Amino acid sequence: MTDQRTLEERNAEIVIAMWKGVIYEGRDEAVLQYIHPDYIQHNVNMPSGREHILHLVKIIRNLPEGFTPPARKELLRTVAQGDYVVAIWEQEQPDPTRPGETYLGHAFDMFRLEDGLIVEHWDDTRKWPRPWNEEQPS
Amino acid sequence: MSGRTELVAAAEPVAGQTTPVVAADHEAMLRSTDPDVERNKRLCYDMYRIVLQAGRADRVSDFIGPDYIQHNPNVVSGRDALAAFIRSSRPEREIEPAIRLPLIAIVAERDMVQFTFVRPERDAEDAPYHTSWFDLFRIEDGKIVEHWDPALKSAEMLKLDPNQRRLATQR
Repeated sequence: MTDQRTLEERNAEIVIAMWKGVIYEGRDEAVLQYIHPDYIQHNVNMPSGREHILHLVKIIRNLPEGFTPPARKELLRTVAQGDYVVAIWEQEQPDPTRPGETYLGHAFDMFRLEDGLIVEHWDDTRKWPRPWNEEQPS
Repeated sequence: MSGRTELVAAAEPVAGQTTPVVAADHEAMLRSTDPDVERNKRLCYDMYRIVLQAGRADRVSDFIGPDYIQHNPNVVSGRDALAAFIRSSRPEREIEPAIRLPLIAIVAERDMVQFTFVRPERDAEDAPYHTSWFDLFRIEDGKIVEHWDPALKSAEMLKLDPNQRRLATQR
């Protein structure tokens, strides 16, 4: 049976499978299966290179004392075209004007794929006081 | 493949950080093999150029539907609210043929058009770095009817003119 899915549908499925395997489950195999060895990282808190994602999944599997993992985000939708997939997420944010309450904010990740592997990533993350790659798994 | 364009270095990298990149050719990104998708991309690109960049609040109704849904937590929904936000946050400028903010990609599918930009920021120690900014639009019957971005709630944002966030080399 031939694969009837479009390039965009296949790429969006790869991105969602990568997020589940890498960010939620912290699996090395998911990093190696979905992420290109020459991964280019535009998130300011992490350097380029797949080896840093392998370090990240170690942290996710063994969260250091006092380290707050990235909040869970609910996928609102993906938009894909050609080599690009953008994931748009909904995320509860603390409301600075109403202490104790939250509002719904949005977070974005854009991925570029090459031959079924994620090779470049951008997101809206601000710089953290301490980069992820300096954290050591406990 | 439609919309494929080269990425080129946009600025000197901050030490230890990845070099920011932008799309080399906006016209190539605006083309699509699907005429509806191409029309949607050009509608959003022109709205960005004329309303958000040139500050032309009087042109809002050319691009935005009357029941515009706004997910940016600092601005209420509605076409008139968008016009008021534009008037209070930026001056009118000359309408230019291209988007001047550092544009990385336009990604469009069905009724959605998404723009990704390089966003220069400063950290707590006032050191410069680059992150990314996103604007997602939904289009219905030739008008933009819904918008999402990564803005957090802040009084500061109501006065922020994002056109001041061009890269140093582009000014």
